[in-house]
Amino acid sequence: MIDLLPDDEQQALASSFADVLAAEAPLSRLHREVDGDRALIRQLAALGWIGLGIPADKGGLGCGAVEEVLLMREAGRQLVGPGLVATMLAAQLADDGTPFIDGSRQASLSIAAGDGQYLRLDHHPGDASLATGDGLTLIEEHAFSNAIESRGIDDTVALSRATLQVPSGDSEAAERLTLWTAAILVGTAEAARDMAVAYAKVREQFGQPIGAFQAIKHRCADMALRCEAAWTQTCFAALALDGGRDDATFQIAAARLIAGDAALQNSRANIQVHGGIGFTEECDAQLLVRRTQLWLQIGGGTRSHQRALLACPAPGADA
Amino acid sequence: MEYSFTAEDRAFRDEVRTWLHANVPTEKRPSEGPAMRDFDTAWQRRQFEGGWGGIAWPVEYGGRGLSLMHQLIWHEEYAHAGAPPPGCMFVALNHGGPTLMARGSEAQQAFHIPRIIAGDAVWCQGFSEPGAGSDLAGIRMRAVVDGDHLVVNGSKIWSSYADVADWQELLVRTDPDLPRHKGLAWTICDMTLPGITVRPIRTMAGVTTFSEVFYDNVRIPLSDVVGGLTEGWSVAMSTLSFERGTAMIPHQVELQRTIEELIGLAREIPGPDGGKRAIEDDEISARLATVRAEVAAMRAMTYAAISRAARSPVPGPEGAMVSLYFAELFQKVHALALDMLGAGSIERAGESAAWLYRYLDGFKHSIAGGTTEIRRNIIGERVLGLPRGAK
Repeated sequence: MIDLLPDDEQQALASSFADVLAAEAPLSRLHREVDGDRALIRQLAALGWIGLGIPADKGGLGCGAVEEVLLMREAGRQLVGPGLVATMLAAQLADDGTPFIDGSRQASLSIAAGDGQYLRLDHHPGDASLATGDGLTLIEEHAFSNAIESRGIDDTVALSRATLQVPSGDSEAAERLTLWTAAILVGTAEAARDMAVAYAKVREQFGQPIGAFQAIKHRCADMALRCEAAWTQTCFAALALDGGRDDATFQIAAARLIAGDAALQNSRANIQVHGGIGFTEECDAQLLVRRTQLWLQIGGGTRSHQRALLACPAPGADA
Repeated sequence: MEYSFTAEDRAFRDEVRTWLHANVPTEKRPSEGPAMRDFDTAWQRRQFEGGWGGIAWPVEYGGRGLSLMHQLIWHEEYAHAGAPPPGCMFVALNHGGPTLMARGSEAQQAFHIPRIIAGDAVWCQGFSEPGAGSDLAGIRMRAVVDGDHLVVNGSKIWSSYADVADWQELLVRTDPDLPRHKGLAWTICDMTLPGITVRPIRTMAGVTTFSEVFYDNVRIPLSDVVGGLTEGWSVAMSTLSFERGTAMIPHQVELQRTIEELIGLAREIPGPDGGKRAIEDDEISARLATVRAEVAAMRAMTYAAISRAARSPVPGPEGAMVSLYFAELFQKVHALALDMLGAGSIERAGESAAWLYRYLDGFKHSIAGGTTEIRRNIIGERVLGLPRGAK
């Protein structure tokens, strides 16, 4: 049986992810105060979603990677802060994930920036942190030294720089982060597509909606095509991970590459479709570009995923 | 979501693999003319005799009526076995036959369908005209009823395999006063009728696989018209509903094989700077990784198309997405191959020859069966709901 569309149960779950995140995390929040979506993450914990992929006997909901990417896609659409991913991974990696699952603790993401330097995203005092690099490592705050506040490409994500020495970490968790990143990038690519299409239907020039012009229509069609490729590949990769298939590493790397390209190209194209308003700070379009650039550096840049993909054996027909 | 194979699926895969291994022709497929026709029809006949003549066709028409899952397995194994393309049998198997099944009379079906499935009849398409390409409804070629015949005058173009075909699916204008999509007839045309002249056209790849066809007072029996004198557009469109999302599978598997071959080649030949292996060149390896990821995504898109087909009886406009993705990926892969081959890419010899041929032939993928511009219009208008308007 091959079915790459959500079944009824998955569809119901996806709808509740979409409904809750659209209501609780509208993009408009990102033009106001920045809090790393900490309150939102606590709300999601109250719904049990932080433990979505954690077995029921460990306090989670016992779902798989497929359900996780359904959540991440919606998180990507609403530009939910990286603390969500960090906290969910911390819940999976910690010896006792309970404080993360129940929302009493959160984690930040720390990205290796070379020479023992790390860039911490949305780190708050007392948070745990997930250090990316050679695998993923869950660390406590005292492991950092020389922490200084900095400014990121994305003003809606707090950035600090710190020094850290970590041993090589968990490569399975790193793979899961890559898959989730792909799903988040798909959500952002879809948000860009939807924003551009909605605008192209109402903005009129030369006496007609600009979406009637092929120059705009074809740009939008390309955005839709990239979303379709990225989302179907991400689902296929999630199935590979859940099924313990040999080609899971290959499929996940492919998903991350395709989704990264989709988010980057779509978020840029969305600004162009919007014209002058797209260049302003008040327009949401710029948020998608900044956030995409950020996610493209989480869990390894595009080049490292290209190398990983080429190092894999070719997937077989019935793999 | 699911991706799993039952024991029965695996047994079926073994059966298919075994049959293909024993039966796939080993000799090289001729690229044009009567030799190509003989090769393609013989291969179809052999598949028919093995019970594989029409895997998607209903059993009542001599087909196998396979489930979507088994069709997928067949196509995957077919491509992995290096089996030849349907070639000049394509139009008969994928257009003529299915259209007759959907809209043909009992007599039309009884005559043509057994011949098609057995590889005894080659069909070509007569849709495009010099003045009607992307704008297919702009067909002008006239057909006038005279007694119990249609009298046809004019010309058709880009008719693949017309030089070796027995029959043609022909779209003609029967009533120029009706709206553009209304006054058309879809008729079977016997290619041996007096007044038909076929002029083969050489493609940029150097072969004559398509033709211009001229009609000088060609008299087609009215009994060969399918679905009524003004129903041609809807008859032509009915073929599309036969396609259940599986059409792109052979292309996807074949392209995946091509990319793996290219990666293998990159491990052997020197890079563009003449020093290290091509795979160690940063630009080449980045491009190889990109196309490898993209063909993986094309596989996932194809599976999604099959999943949609399993849920809905009417194919949606999403089909345009996979074919658009394929066309651009195919061209990207072969452009990369030529860049990789360096100086070897200008010599039609040895390893380069096949890459060069496919590079040149590949330009058709963004034109034939709807240009990529038309496919983008379909996605924009029918998937995204953007307004129709200035073209």
